[in-house]
Amino acid sequence: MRVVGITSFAIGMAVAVLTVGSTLPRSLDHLDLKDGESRLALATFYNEKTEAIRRQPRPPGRQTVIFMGDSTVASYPPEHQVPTAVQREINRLSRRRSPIRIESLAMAGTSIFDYYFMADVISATEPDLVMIPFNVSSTSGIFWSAFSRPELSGWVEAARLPETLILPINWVGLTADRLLLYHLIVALGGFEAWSTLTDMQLRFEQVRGAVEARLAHRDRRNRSPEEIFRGSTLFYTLAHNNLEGTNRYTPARTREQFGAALHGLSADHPTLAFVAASVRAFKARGIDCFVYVTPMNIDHIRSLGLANEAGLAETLSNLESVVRASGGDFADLHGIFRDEMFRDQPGHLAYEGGQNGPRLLAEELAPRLIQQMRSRRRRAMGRPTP
Amino acid sequence: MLFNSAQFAIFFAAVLVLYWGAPRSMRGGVLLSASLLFYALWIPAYLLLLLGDIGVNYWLYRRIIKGNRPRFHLAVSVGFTLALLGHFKYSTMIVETFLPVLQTGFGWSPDVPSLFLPLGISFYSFQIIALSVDAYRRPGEPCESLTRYALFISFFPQLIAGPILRGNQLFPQLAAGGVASPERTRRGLYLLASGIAKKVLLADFLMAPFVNEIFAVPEAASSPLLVIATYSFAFQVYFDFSGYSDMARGIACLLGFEIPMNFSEPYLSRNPGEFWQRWHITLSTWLRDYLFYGLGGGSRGIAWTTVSLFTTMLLGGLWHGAAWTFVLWGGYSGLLLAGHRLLLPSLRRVNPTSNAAKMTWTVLCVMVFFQLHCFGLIFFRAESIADAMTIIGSLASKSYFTGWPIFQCLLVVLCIALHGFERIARLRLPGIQERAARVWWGPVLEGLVFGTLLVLAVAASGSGGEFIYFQF
Repeated sequence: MRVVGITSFAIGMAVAVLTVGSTLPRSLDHLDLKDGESRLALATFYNEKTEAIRRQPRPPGRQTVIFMGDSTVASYPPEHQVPTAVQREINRLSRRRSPIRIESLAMAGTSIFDYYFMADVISATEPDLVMIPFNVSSTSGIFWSAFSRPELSGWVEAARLPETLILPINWVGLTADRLLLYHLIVALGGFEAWSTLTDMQLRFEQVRGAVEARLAHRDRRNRSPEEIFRGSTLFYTLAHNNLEGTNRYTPARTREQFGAALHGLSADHPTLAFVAASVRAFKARGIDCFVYVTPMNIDHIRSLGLANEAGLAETLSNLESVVRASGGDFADLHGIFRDEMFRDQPGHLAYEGGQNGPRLLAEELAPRLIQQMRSRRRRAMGRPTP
Repeated sequence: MLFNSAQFAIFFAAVLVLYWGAPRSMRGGVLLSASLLFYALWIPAYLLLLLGDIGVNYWLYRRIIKGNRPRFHLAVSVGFTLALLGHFKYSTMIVETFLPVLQTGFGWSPDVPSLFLPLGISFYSFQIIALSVDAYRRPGEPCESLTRYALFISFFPQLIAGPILRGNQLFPQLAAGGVASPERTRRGLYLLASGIAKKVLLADFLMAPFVNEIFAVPEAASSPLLVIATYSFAFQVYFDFSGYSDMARGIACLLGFEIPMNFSEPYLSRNPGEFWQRWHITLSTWLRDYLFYGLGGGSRGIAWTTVSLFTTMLLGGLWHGAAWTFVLWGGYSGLLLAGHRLLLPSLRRVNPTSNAAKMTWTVLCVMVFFQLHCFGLIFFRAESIADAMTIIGSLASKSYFTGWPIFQCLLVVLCIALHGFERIARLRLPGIQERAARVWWGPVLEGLVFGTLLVLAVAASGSGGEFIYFQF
């Protein structure tokens, strides 16, 4: 009797799982809920991009630099992106004789946390050097909570897991169990299935919004409360984020974004710990690492009376210490531009007219890169480096 | 590790196999190992803290039950446990609160601690205190085994968000070992399924998006939106926490243990006293037994009772979170309880005679109390006191004639209906299940329901919302 009961229960459950599981995607199709961009899109982007770099022919003597970075590096028209500008500047300085080839893996919204988890995938492209732009706002609490691609942790190779487990991964919303789960999924080759499930969940999340929209559509006499509310939220959010007419952060947003760094961060701060760990991960594979602090609009922060120069200097000094202690090179470019060089407060540079921020930044970076790569070549040939 | 996550499914399946596959004498060890692993899989380093807390308190517990300066060792145990809790949970709040005074008065600017709250510390600290106090009060029921003591504190189904257990509820079961039965297994599956559905489908999928949107920028919301958001939050927090408690009870059942019910349809309460007998029952009984009675209880006259009630709830509010909003919420709850106690003689005079009048009076009381409770939840949910005041100001001053969110209103009505249905299900379900078990299609139907909930929960769990009570 007991066996019959368990069997009947199992049959009922299997029928429900199969029926509902197959009906659900069709219902979502019927509701016209399309696939959105899931958080795994980044993983797909990097998979394809790194694969393309790996397949490229590499003539003897060529030196490859992988340029990481967020929107302050990548969010420009192709010809104005920072890696492109740096390549152009290197070519100009070397009269096109430089063997340095820059490949961009920069993508808006990424940060040092992503680079740490992707270090093994990046290393597989066998670069000579990895450029890591450090955006000071990545030290803010908002940034930690905004790290929404925990699946990337599945890319960490098994040998690095012990080190990863003792890093402050909890600051970016990861826990040991999630880290191990994603690792297991990747190790078992279940990435595609996981991706499909994530896409379905993303579509399912839209059901609520779709029903709301349909209800609002029926009631054409008044605008829906959600519409009214969303409009005002947008207005409020804009007002909260930006000073009217100036496209600059308000004091509140400036404190949220830069406050921690302006008060002086110690070397064991989670973001700095991830920087150090990333540099170590690359160095362990014989890849040089160059960390530079991206330009920030310090003029605006000063104008708000929030600039704590000593605190910021302490943060950057500690950052330099951890980078150099981990075997990387460092450049602090946070204060190279005045206020007018910024399109907005997050650090996107002006690139039109006479003010070409990416080009000016490239002029700062290119000589350092050439120097760096020359040293590497000398080291490789067993010659003393200057 | 969330109970509604893939990693927990893997973990629990492995534990079930190892636990039931092990000889009875080794099951305690398997369960303790699993519980410690469960904790370590969150932040491995904090396992040392948990083990340290258990080790020190077990040593003190043994001193208490052996009658070796019991009062002194009890004080050390309570002090040590509260000091750890205070350090991790309240040091940031204390420094931030007194920072302006320290800066202006003493020219001292200490760093604000940035600590990560150890998971479940509020819950297991209360269990440790309860064990020590019970050992002092009733030295006749001791726990003689460190393994059992450690398992009691770290028992993974209830480790991170309760229910808060007492020694006499779990020690006898641990000594006997888990006992499986078809009835218990079936109840466990039912609790697990209903808990997942409450948490994932109702709290996370239907309630949370609206609540989060409104409370993120309360200045921008109209009065109707704030009203519905507050009601929605009331059901979100209820379904979230009671869903967690159901899952915890279900998991315990599948391991052969019974842990107490934590919620009993609290929004059907007619007054604050009844509410606290139905909401987070294991916390409110803990507060009653170890704080309210400690302060003198109700035996020293109405004035002292009122003060004791208020103080108990104020500290209960502080237990919920290191923020002044929680203190205000606790104080408000204390005021409601004390006010109700003062008004009790007058309320007793309202004595409807006919059934219709009794029903009307009950419904009226339930509705009025629900409004009062929701008002308090504004402090519970708001990011800051300023936000709470903004919401209250908007509720009092803006128009209610337009801008009602139709869809969310329907969802709130659905939640009210489900809340009533829960009561019916709790009272009638055992009988229904018994009858269903007699026919061949009963288990099939149960399987269909369970499977459907499972698929929907997996589909809706993309956002992966944390349990609200984890942060406490």
